[in-house]
Amino acid sequence: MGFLKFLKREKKKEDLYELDLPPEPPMLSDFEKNAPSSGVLDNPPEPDFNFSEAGEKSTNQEESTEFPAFPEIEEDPLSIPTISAPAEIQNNVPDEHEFGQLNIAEEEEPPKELEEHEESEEEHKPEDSHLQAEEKPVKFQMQRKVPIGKIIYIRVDEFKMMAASINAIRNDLKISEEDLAKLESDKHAKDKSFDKVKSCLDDLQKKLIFIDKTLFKGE
Amino acid sequence: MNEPKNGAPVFVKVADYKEILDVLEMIKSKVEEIRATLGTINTLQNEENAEVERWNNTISDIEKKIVEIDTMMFEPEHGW
Repeated sequence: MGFLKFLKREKKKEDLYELDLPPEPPMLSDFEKNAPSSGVLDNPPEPDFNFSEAGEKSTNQEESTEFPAFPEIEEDPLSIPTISAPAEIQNNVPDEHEFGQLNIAEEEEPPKELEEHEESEEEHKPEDSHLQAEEKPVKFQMQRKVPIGKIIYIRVDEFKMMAASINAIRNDLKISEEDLAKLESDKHAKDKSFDKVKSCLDDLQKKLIFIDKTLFKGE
Repeated sequence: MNEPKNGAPVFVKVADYKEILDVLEMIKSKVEEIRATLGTINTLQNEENAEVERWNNTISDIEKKIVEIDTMMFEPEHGW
């Protein structure tokens, strides 16, 4: 029946009132005796490490400012093995002509980043900027994240919208050029009429001077 | 250009993205310059219209005076 002894011990631990009392705490007078002086605390003694070799080396380095000579390492490019992508990745690299036909789920990140950035810019616009936008219809104060070193993709629907916008801009530019040519012809006609009016006014002035001289000759 | 297949988004690769951004910035600055020039043209046109209106009034005054002189010249007994 010796294997049941551990059960008796656990029962003793569970009963807290039967535990042994802890030792009494030391008296305050003992602390005052053993407490170090204040000067010792302010300037603690530095540990005395007696490393014979390391100590000698450190003193030598402090005296001489020159760097210690290191053994030269011979660079052998042939010794570094070239890392190549696994065959699975190399086979899955899309060609430039095939990128439109691929299901590029992983490449969605760059456009999403741009869209989120633009959305966040719109959210952070102050209310006064809306009033300013009424005065100026187009505001060109946008900041973009330009991903560097990444392949950029644009969604096809956005690409179509951009192509349509570019065509519309082209048509507007044609109309503007025609209007400009018309304005130039109008300006030439206006300049001609101004010159004509000026010559008429000069004639009028001459004739008025003649009438004035004739009437008030004072004979 | 390819249509989306199976609802998956299809992207178009942009090779010269940075160059396009630079050109877009240039276009924006040009548009702002054109807008400023149009504002200048508008103010000049307003000044020109005001000058033409003043010129018109001056010509009307001259016409009235000429008519008066003409009347006086052809009816000397009333005017002199």
